[in-house]
Amino acid sequence: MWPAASTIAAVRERLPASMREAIDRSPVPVLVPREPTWLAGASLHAVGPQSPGYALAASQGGRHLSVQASRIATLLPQVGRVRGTRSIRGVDGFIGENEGIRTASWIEHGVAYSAELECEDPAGPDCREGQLEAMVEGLVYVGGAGVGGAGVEGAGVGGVGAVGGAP
Amino acid sequence: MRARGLTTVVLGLGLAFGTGLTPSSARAQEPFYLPPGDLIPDSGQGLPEMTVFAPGMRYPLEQGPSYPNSQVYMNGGSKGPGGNQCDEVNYSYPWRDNYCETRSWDMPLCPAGVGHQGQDIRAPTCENKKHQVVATAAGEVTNIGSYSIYVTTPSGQRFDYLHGALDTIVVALGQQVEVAQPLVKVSNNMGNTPTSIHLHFNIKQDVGGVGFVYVSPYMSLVEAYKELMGLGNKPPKGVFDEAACEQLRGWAQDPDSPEAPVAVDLYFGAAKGDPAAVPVQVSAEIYREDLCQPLGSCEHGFELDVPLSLRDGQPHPVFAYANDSEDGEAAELELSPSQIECEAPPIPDGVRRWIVDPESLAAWKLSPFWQAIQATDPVIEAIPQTQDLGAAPVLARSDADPAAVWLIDQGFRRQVADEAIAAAWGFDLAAAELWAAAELQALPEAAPVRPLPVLLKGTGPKIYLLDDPLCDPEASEVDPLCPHSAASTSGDAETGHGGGGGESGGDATTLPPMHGSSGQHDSGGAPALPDGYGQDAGCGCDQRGGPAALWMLGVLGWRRRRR
Repeated sequence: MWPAASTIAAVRERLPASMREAIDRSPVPVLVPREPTWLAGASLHAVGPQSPGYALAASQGGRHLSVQASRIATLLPQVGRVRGTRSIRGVDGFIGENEGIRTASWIEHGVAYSAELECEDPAGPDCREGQLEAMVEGLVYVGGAGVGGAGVEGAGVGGVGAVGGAP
Repeated sequence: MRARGLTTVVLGLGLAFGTGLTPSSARAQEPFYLPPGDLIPDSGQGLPEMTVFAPGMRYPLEQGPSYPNSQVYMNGGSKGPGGNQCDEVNYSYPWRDNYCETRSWDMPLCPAGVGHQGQDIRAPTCENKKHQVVATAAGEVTNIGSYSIYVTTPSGQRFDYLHGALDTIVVALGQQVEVAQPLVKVSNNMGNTPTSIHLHFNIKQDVGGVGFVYVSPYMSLVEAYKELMGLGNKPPKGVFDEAACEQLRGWAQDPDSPEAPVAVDLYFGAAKGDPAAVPVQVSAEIYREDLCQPLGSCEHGFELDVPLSLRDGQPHPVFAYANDSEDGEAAELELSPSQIECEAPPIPDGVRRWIVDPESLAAWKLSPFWQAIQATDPVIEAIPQTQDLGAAPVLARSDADPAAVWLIDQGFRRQVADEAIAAAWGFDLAAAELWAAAELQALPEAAPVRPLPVLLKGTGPKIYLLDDPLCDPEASEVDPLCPHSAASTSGDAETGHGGGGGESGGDATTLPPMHGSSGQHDSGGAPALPDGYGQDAGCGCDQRGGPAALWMLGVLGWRRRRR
């Protein structure tokens, strides 16, 4: 279930106009961090007409957040389905670390998302696994294909219900 | 896409090339990499993933050589055998996969469920901020972090380049980059945490049932490196220079075997794979002076004369493909397809002899595709018809003169003048039967076997051999098809019409006098056998052994395909 349209609109208002335009072109629901400090430095990329998703980049105080989404998967016969080891936004997912860059991946409403938190100080307190988890749980929908028709009132699922609160 | 030939890679090759490797020396020492999933012992459980997840990608370093291997378990690494990160062994072949190398974090595609996300890559030398990292594919820069650059392609695949020096970054967030465009230089940047001088390279993409995760980049790197360094299999190349009635001509070379001849497949009538296409294979091995300098090797030309059946005044497309010396895909030559449209040649003088069935055609090793002149029915009917061709050729030699070989043809003996003629007819001289001299001499001697077989075909199913009449010099009745001096079989060619015995023997490069133009066949000249004659082996294959024969027919040359 998607969040209420009014909730989405509230978050959208904080975004730069250029980013709102990019969000509207996204072929998948766009998740962004809800903290204004992150949103101030956020930008959306790779959302062309043929794009399978989007890529968000945001920076704040020596930390870099990257969110990537895709609606078109490659099927690998040798892989099949792999169940996630962690609960992320109410679904199974994976938490990892790539050369000090914290990573999370999950599939939400049929869209594959991943988020990465990279820091100048990879071992610092602001770059721990818990920081990434909190950021991912706090991601909010702001539009994109699949969200525009959301007029359903009430809390969402899979962490979506967290949107709307003051940062 | 899957790479091939990896099962032959052997562990412990001891390929220590050093850092001054040149492409040629790398080639000489292939393979340059160990199989995917073959991690350093006790460094984790690798994934033997053969999939090239990024086919056609560019190698992420501007220049080679390059040495993907572990930063943790090699010299100078925290779990290595000691030494220094710049030790020569780290900058030596063979490559070693370290995707899925032991780590404690989730990696859903790794056998252990945890592991290293990508591949560590060392540059040509252990120098900081010297070697350029370049984009492996065109896309948009979707992240520039403290020590990472992500480029996302239009298909959504993402390439990650880590540990480049921030002060060497030459792209910006949101910038569109082209393949091979410089991004940053190889360094040891990991924020405020030290690491070795290397590029950490990831491929991340949406995998069904798993999510947006890191896939093995190893085989993509292998294929890209082959391209960068000129390693591995390359497609053959060449040009279909000319498709004229005088000759089909071109050249082909396989860069992987630059000195060797290349087999070229010519398809008449349609492209390769089309059931209507008639394939003919020639060997590109003819010396051509003009190829020596550009190819570094001279013997790569091929030539083929137009099959007689296609000299029918109709257009026929011809496609040319060079075969790969290493079982790779054949490559269509430049300027292919081309087209031939050739007038029918004049029909040599003689009589026509019906080839009664497909079995006879096969027994005589005759090919309508190569040897049949298409003619109108009135032209054919104007040619006198004599004895049918026998079921199969019978060769004989006598014990008195074993060097002379004779064709036993409907009760006549006909001399096979030389080996070239035997080859042109596909005769196996060694299979000649040994007859008593008296028995052989008892047969009347007719005209020698012609230098080359020529067939005739009209609109109907019948195929005829154009031949000399079988004349008995001792016959009491005068045969109007036979010359008055029928006893002569010396090979003089004084008779100009009707085809007498003996006028065509000897020189394989001359033909009997001509009947004149054969006219046009309005059926399009399909090379397939007519009804009742079975299949022409489904191709234009020349069934004969021996050297190519040459038939000069006025200005029209027709040479059989080269073996």
